[in-house]
Amino acid sequence: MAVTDFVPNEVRTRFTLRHVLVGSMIVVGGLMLVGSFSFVREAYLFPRFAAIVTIIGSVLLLVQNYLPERLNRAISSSVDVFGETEKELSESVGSDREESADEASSDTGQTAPTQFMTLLLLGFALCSYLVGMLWTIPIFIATYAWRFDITRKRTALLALVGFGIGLAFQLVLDIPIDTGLIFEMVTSRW
Amino acid sequence: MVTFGSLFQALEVVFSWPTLGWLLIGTIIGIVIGAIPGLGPNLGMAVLLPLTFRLNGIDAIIFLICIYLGSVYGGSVPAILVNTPGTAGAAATTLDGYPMARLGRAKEALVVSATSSAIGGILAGITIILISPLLVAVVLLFGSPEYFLVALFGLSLIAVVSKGSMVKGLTVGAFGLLISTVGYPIATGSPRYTLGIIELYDGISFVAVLIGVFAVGEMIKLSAEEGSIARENFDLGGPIMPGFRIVLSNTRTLLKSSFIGGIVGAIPGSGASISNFVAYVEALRSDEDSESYGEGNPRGVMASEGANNATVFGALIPTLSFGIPGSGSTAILLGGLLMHGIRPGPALFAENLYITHSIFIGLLVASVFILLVGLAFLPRLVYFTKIDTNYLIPIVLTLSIVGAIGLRNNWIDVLTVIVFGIVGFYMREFDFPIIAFVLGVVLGPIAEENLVRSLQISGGSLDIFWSSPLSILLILLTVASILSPAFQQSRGDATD
Amino acid sequence: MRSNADSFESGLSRRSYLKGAAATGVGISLSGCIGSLTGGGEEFPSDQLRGIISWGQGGGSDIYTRQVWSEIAESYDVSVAFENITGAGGMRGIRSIYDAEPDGYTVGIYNSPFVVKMLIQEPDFELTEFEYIGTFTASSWVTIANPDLGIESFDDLVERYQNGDLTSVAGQQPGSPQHVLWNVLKNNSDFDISWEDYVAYDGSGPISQAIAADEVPVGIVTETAAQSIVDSGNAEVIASLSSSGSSVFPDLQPITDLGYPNIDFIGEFFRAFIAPPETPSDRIETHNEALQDAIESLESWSEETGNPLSYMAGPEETLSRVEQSYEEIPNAIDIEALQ
Repeated sequence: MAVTDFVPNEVRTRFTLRHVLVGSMIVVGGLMLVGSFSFVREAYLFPRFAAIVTIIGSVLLLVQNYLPERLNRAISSSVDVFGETEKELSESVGSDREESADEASSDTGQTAPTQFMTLLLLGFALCSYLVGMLWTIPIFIATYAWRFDITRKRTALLALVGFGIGLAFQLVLDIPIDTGLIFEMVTSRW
Repeated sequence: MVTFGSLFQALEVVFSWPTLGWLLIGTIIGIVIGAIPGLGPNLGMAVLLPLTFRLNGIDAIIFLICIYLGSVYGGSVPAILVNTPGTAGAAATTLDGYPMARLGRAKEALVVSATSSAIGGILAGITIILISPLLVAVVLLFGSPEYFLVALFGLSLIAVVSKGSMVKGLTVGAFGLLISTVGYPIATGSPRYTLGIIELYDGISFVAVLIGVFAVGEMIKLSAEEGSIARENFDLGGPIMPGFRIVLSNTRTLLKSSFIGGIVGAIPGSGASISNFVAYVEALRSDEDSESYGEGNPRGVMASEGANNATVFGALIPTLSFGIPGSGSTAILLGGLLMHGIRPGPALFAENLYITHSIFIGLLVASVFILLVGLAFLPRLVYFTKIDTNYLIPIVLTLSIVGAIGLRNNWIDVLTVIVFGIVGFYMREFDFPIIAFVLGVVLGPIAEENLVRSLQISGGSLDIFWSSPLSILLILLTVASILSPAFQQSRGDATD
Repeated sequence: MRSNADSFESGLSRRSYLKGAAATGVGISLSGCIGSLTGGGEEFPSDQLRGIISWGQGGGSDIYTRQVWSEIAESYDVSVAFENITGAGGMRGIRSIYDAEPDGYTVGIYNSPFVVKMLIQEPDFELTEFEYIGTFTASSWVTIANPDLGIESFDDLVERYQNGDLTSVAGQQPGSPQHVLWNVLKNNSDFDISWEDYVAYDGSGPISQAIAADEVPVGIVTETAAQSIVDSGNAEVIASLSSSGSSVFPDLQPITDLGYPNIDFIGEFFRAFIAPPETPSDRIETHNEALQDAIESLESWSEETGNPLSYMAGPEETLSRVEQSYEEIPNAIDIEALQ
C-alpha cells in the first residue's frame, strides 16, 4: 500500500471504509454459513463452500496489515504477474488521483461526493418504496442538482428527462412504478 | 454437406419484401433496446412477441432474432460511453471500452465494437451453416459434468484476472458465488436465504448486479470528478478508419472470440453474459501486452464484442435442433417458433432446412446492417463523453434504476442495483478485481446446478468428472488457466 | 402465406393499439378504485382488460393468454393489457390476481401444477377462493426414454426398474409436477416402480437433452415438450400418464389402459382462466361465454400452431378439479419435506 503512505489522513478514512467493506463480507458470509446448516446436503454444499472461502479470505485481508511483512506480501500478491504490486496499484489508482484531491478539498465543507451519492441512492430506494419510483425520480435529480450546484433551469430540464424515462418504462412495460407503500395503504383503507 | 438448393431458397426469402423490412426494423429496435439498461433482448422480444402474431412465420422469427442480435450489439454502446452495460452480454465491453472513452477514444471503441460484432457474428454464422449436420452430435457431447467443468473453467479465470492479489480475487469471487446461491436451488424444493420474502425466491438477478457494479458504481466514482467522461480532448468528427484497422490487424483475437462465443452460446444456461467474459479473459491471458487490458486496450473490446454476437448464432443450435432454449432470449424465440407452428427438430435440418438457413442468412444480413449502422450513425454518440458528468450522472442513474425494475418487475432488483453499485464502487476503490466478483455471480448457478446434478447421477462419485474425453480436455484447460499467471511470470522473467 | 399488405397493416394497427393500451395503463393505480364505483350500472365490459400472466414470456401460458384474451377483447371491442408477473413459481402473479379489484376487468391464467406450489409455500389465501372462468386446454405427462435402451412398453419400464437395470429418472425441481409424479408412481403399490434416484433439471428442454445424451435413461415431460426430441429420434415416448392418452402421440397407450390406477389429479396438466375472488358471477358468465366463442374462432390458429385448444370445463367443474388436486396431492407426497 505504498501509494497511500504519503497521505496519512486519507489512509485513515480509506481504511475505515475498507474495513466496512471487508467486514460486511465477513458478516454476510457468516450469516449465510450459519443459514446453510438448516439445508439438506444438496443445498448446503455450494453456499457453505463459498461462505467459508469468503470468510477466510476476508479475515486474511482484514488482518494483513498486522501480519509480518513477508506474510503480508504473500497475501497481497500471491501470484504476482507483473512482479511488482506497487506498479499495479498506482496504475489502477492513477486515474483516481485527481479525484482523491477533490475529495480532500471537499472535506472542508460538504460531505465527500461519493459518500453523498451513497446516501442519495439509498434514499432513492427508500423513497421509491414509499411513494413510487416515478415521483421519486425528480426529487432525486433535484437533490443531486442541489448538491452539485446545477442551475435551476438545467435542474428542471434534467428532472423532466428523468421523469420522461420513468414514464416511458411505465408505459411500455406496464410496470406500476407510480405507486408506493403509502398510496397502497391509503387506497386499501377505502 | 450443405444443400445449396435450400441456401438459394433462403436467400430468396430473406431478400424478399417485407421480410427484409422486418429484418431491418428488428435490428434497429434491437440496437435501441440493447442500448437501454434493463431493456435487454429478453424483455424486448417478449414485449414484441405478441406483435408478431399476425406476421407470417419466417418474417416473425427473423424479426425476433434480429432484435436479439441487434440488442446484443446495442448493449456495447452505453458500455463504452458511460460504463453501463446495456445488456449482460456487454459487461466485459466496459472493461476496456470505457477506459478508451475516458482517453478520448470513444469513437474508435465504437467502431471496433461494431466491426467485431459484425465480423464475429458472420464468422460464427458461416461456420455453423457449414457444419450444421454435425451440430446435433456436438451438443449431445455436453452433459451435466461437462457443463460443470465449463463453469469451473470460467471460475478458474479468476486466477487470470486477479493480477496482483490472488486472495482478493478469490474472496470476492467466492462472495459472488455466495450471492448467487440465494433463491431456489435446483436440487431441493425449498428456497435458500429468502427470509420469507417472495421476491427473493428466484434469487438475485445477476443482470441487476452487473448494472450495479458497472453503471452505478462508476457514476458514484464520477460524482467526485470534474469535467466530462473523456479526459482528453478529441475531435468529434474524427475518422473511423483507425478502429476499423485495429480489428482487421487482430484477426486472431477476433477468430478466437467468435469461436468461444459460438461454443458457449450452444451450451444451455449460459449465453452472451458468460461468453463475453470468457473471450475477454482469454484475450487478456494470451496477449503479450496483457498489462494494458482494463486501461483501454481495443483488443479487450474486440474480444467481448466478437464473442457476444457469435453467441446468438451458437444459441440457435440447441433451440432449432431439439427445441432446447439455451437462454431466456432463445426461450422466447422458441415461443415465437411454436406460436407460428415452426416446430424445432430434425425437420429444420432436413426438409425444412431452408427455414434454418433463412434464419442464419437473416442474421448474416443483420450483421452487415449492424456494421453499417455502427459505422455510419453511432459514432456520433461520442458526444455523450463530452457532456459534463454532472448532467450525465443523474440520467444514467435514473436509467439504471428504472431499468432494474424493468428486468423482472421485482423490487429486489432495484435494491440489488443500488447496493451492488455501492459495493462495486468500494470494491474498485480498494482494488478488488471486479471481474472476479462478476464471474462468481454469473457462473455460480451453472456451476452449482451441474455439480449437484452430476453427483446425483454418479451417486456421489467424483469419477464422473473425468469419464469422457471432453471432460478431460476441460480439466486440462482449467488447470492451464490456473497455472497460466505463474507461467506468464516465468516467461516474463526469462525475457526480462 | 398471407399477403404482404395484410401483414404490414395488421402490424401497424397492433402497434397503435398497444400504444393506446399502454396510455390507459398509467391511470390504472389511480383510477382502479374509482372504476369500481362508477362501473356498476354500465354495460360490461366497457373498459380495458388486464391479463396477468404468472409465468414467463414465450411459454405456453403466455402464448395462450395473449392469443385467447386478445380474441376475447376484440369481441368485446375493448383493449387488453398483458402483464407478466413472474417469480416464485408463479406465486407472485397469482397473488396479484388475488389482490386485484374483483370487477371482472382483471383476469389471469392458472396452471394445474401450481397446486403443489400452493401446498408448499402456504400463502395466506386458497386457490378455491378464486373465480374460475373455464378450462381451455389439457395435456398429459408422458415418460420418454433413450431409444438405445429399447424399452418396449410401460410394463417393460416398470420391470427394468424393479430388477435394478434402471434406477434414476429425470424431472424438474422438487415440488414440480414431475417430482410429484415420481413420488406417486414410487409410493403407490399398484405401480411399485422402484426408481430411487430423482435427477432434477431446469426445464423440459434440458430433460430431453439429458435423455438424448443418455445421461439419465428415463424422464417425465409434457407431451408437447416431448414432441421435438421424439421426432428427432433421439428419444422415444413410452406411456401417457393421463387417462385420456395423448393428442400429440395419438397411438400412445394411457397407463390406465394397462390396468394402472387413474392419477389424472397430477398426470394431466390443464390450464384455466381465473379472476379475483368475489368477481361478480354475471361477469364470470360473460367471460365464460366469450371464452367458448373465442376457442371456436381460434380453431385454425390452434391447428396451425399445434397449441391444442378446446373448451373442457366451465367454472364449477374447473373448481372441482382444483379441489381434487388439493386433496389428493398431499396424500401422495410429503409436503413438509419440501418446505
